[in-house]
Amino acid sequence: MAEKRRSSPCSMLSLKAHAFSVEALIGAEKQQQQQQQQLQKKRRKLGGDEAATTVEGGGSGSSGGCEKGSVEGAEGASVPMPLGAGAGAGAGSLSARSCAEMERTCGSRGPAGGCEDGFQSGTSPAVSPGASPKGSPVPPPVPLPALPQTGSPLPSPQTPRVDLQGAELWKRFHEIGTEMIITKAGRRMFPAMRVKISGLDPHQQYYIAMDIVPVDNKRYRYVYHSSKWMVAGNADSPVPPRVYIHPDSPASGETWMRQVISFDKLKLTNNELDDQGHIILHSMHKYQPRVHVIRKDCGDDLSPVKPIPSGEGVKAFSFPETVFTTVTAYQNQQITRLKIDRNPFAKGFRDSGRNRMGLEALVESYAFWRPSLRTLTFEDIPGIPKQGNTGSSTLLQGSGNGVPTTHPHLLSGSPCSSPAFHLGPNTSQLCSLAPADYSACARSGLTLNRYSTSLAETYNRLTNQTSETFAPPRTPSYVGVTSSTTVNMSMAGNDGDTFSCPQTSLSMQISGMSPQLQYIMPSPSGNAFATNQTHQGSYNTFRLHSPCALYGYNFSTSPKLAASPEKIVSSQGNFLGSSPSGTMTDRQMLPPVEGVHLLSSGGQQNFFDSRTLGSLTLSSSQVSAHMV
Amino acid sequence: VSYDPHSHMRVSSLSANLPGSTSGKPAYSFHVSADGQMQPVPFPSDALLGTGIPRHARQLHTLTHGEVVCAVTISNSTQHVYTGGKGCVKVWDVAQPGTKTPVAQLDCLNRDNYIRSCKLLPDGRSLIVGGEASTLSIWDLAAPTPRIKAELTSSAPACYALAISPDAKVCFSCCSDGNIVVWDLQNQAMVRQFQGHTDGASCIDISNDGARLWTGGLDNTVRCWDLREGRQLQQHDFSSQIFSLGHCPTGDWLAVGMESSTVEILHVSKPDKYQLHLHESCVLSLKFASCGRWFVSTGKDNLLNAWRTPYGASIFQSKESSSVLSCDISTDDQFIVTGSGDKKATVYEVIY
Repeated sequence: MAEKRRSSPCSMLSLKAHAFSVEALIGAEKQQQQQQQQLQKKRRKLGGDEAATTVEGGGSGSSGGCEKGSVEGAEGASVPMPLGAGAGAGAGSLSARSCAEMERTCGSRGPAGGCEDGFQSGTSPAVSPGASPKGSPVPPPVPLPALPQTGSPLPSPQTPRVDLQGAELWKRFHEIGTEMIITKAGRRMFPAMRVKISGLDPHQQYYIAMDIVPVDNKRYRYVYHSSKWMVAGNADSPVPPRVYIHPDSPASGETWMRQVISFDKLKLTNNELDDQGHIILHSMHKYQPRVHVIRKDCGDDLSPVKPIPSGEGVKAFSFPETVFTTVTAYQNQQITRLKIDRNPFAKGFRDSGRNRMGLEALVESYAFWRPSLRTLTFEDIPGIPKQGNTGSSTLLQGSGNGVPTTHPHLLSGSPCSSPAFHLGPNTSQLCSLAPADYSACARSGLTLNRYSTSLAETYNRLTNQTSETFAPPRTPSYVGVTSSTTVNMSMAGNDGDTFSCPQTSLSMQISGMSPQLQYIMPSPSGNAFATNQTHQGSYNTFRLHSPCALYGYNFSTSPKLAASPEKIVSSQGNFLGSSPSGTMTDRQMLPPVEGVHLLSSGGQQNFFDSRTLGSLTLSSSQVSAHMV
Repeated sequence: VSYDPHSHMRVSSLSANLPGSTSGKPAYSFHVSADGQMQPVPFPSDALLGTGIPRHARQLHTLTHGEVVCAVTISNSTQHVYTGGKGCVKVWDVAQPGTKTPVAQLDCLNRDNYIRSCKLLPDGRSLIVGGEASTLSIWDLAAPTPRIKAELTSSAPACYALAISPDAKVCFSCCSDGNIVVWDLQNQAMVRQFQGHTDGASCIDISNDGARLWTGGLDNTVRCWDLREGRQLQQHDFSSQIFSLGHCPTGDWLAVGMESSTVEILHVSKPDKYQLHLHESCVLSLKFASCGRWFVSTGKDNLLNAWRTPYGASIFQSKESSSVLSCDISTDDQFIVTGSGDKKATVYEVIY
C-alpha cells in the first residue's frame, strides 16, 4: 500500500541529474510518496477509527489512484495532493470524480496568503470526503480536525509554495507599522521582498512577478501625539495597474527553486505618469505586496502595465506581515530607526554603538552643528583648505587638520565618500552608501554647495539653536557643556562652496562639548535629552554626522521640507525664520524648550532613509523639493 | 512600457509558417542564422504533402506495462514491442490484435530501479538494456525463453541511453557521470570512454555514416565524437539541458530536444539551425523516421509531435494522458511506439 520511497541511484548526483530522474520527468517528485505516508500517519492519529479506516481504505485506493493521477498531472501546477486530500476544493463531490480531475481541482485552487493556508484549508475538508476514486462508500461526513500548521506535511510538490525570507525583520517592522518611502523617481523597498519558492515543476517554465494592491480604500495620517495611524478619509482614485516581473523570468521551476528570489530592484513611485515601469502607489495609503507564480503558458497577458492575469496557472501569494503604508517621509521615528539600523545602505546613519563620551565623540557628533556659542560661519572654520568642487579624494587628503586615518570607505574613493562625512578617527562608519543608489552622492556634496548658503545658514541656526538650548545647564545631560566651550573649529576658511569640507576638521576640533548634545535634536518626547541619551543615541548621533543626515536633519526642521503638510509644526516657521540671513545672530532665537520641542517634532518628521537622501541630489530641483 | 514575454516568438498572430493556411498556430518554427537572427520559417508546399510524409497516426494498442515506461523499442519485424519500466522489460506481441499481456518479461534490475534504455541489435536477436544500475544486460531473444547472455559492468551508477553501431559490434552507453562508455559486444569489454560531459549524458545517436557519435548532456551541451580517433570533434552549448537527440539517417541534421521545451534542428556542419516551439515542457525523447524526412518528439506536456525535417513543419500532434518519456519508430516507418508516465505504452499506426 504505502509505497516505499524509491531511492534512485541517480539521486546521489547533482541536482541536474535529479532533474533527469524518472520522477522528475513524469512530474511527480519523490517527496510526494513520502508525504502520502506522512499524511497517512497523521490521519490515523487524528481521526477516529472510522475515519482512519476510511482514510486508509481510501488512502490505499487513492494513493494508488492518486499516484496515477499525479502522473497524469504533468501540466505545470496541477497538484497531486496526497491521499484523500486530493479532494481539495472539490470536496464533497469527489466520489464521482476521477483522480485526475481531483488534481486539477487542487491545482486550480490557488493559495493566497502563503501556501500553507491554502493547503490547510484544503486538507481538512478534503479528508472527510476522502473520496476514493474507485467509488468506495463515501466516508462519514465528520471532518477530521484540521492538521496543525506546524505539523502538517509539506504541500504536494506540485503546489507552489512561497516562503518569505527575512520574515523576522518584516515582523519587526510590522509590529511598529511598516512604512515605505515613495518618490517621484521611484524608491526601492526596505525590506525588499525576498522569497523562496518550492513545489514548482522543475521542468515547467514560469514567470514570477510582484504587484502591490491596496489593503483598503482609506487614506491615512499619522498622529504624532499618539504615535498612531488614523484614517483620514477615503482613498484616492485607483492608480494605474503595475506589475513587476522578476527579471529572471521566464525560467524553469528548477531555476526558481534553487535560489532566493529577490525583488530588491522593484521601485515604488507616486508619479501616476511614471513611464519607467515602477509600481505606482498613493502616499498615505496601505498596501499589500503579492508574489505571483505564473506558468509560462498562462503568461501571455503578463505585462508590467496590466493587472496580473488570472487563471489556473497563476497563483498569488501574500504575507500579512509585509503590509505597509506609503509615505514620502517617515512618520514614525521607530521606523526610521529600524530602517537605519537594518538597512545596509543606511549604514552611514549609524553609530558604531560605542559609548560616545568624551571630547572626540563630541567633536564627531556635534562639531559641525555647534562649533561655539559665537557666531560661526563657514569662513570661520580654520584648517580646512579652501577647495573647489573637487573630487572626494582630494578633499579627503585636504583635511589635514590632524584628521587621522580616513575612513576606508573614503579612501576607496567610493562615490559617496565626500570627506565632509569623515568624522575623525573614532568614527567607525560613514555614509557607506551603495554605489547603486548613491552614485549621485559625490555630486551631492557639490550640489549642495550651491545651496550651502541656505543650508549653512540653517545649520548654523540649528547649531546655534541647540547651543542656546544647552546654555542653561538644566539637566545633567548638559553637563560638560558650557558656554565657554571653546570650539576650535579649526576649520579652514572656506566659502559656502566648500560646504562639505568643514566637517572634516570640524570633527576633530571641538572640545568641551557634551556628547549628550547630540541627542537634543530629534526626539519626540519633551524630555528629549534624557531619553535620547540612553537609546538610539547612536542613531541620533550619526544623523548629525553624515551629510545626508545633516541634510535630512536640515530638512526635517524646515517646515517646507516636510513633505506632508500634516507634519508641519506651525511653530517651525517661526523657528527657522523666513529667510536666511547673513549670520546666525540675526536670527530670532526661540527659547530652549520650545526649540527643543521644535527640533524634536521636526526630527520626527523627515527621517529619510539614506536612499531618500541619496536620490535628492541628482538635480537641484530635486534638492529644493526636499529642502523647501 | 510594453512587455511582451513572447515577443521573440510572436511575429504575427496569424500563422506565419504555413503558406495560406489558417491553422491558427502562431509561428512555431524559426530559422536561426549564424549571427543569431531568428526568422519564422515559411514552409515549402511539400511540407506536409510529400511522399513518405504521414498524415496522422492512429492508436492501435495500449500496452499496460504497469510501471512508468521509460524505454521502448519495436522490432524490425514490427512484431514485438519491448517496454522498459521498473526493474524489468516486458515483451509484447503487437502483431496480434487485442494484445493484453506481455509474452515475456525480462528482469534486468532491482525492482526499484528504472530501465532507461533498451535497444535491439540489428538482427533482432539480442536486446541490450541499461538503466539505473551499473550493469548493462544483454539478452538473448532467440532462446526459447529470453535469457541474459552477458552483463557489462561500468563504474557509473546509471546508464541513461544506449546506441548500437550499425555493424552491431559496438554499443555505446551514456552514463550518469557524463562518460560515454564504448563496449565491444563480442568481447564484452570496454573499449574506451569518451569523457567530456560535465554532468550526466542523457542521449546519444550515431551519425548516418557511422563515423561519428553525437551525445547530449545535462551540462547543456551537445558533443560530437569521432569514433575512429576517439576524440571530441564539436561542442554546441545551449542554455538548457539536453534530454534527447537524434541524427537524421539520410541527411546532415541533428534534432535536439531540450529541457526548455525547445526542439532545435542543427546542421552538423553549418552554423544555422531551426528552433521549434510546439512543446510546452521538456522534450523527453526524439526519433527520426528511417526515411529521414520526418521525426517525432515527445514531451512532458503529454504531446507526441511529428515534424518535418529539417524545418519542423508540424505534421501531426497526439495528446496523451501523461508525460511521454520514450518513443521509437519501426524501421519501416509504419509504427510509432511511445512510453508513458501513465505506466503504459501506446502503439500508433502511421497513416499516410
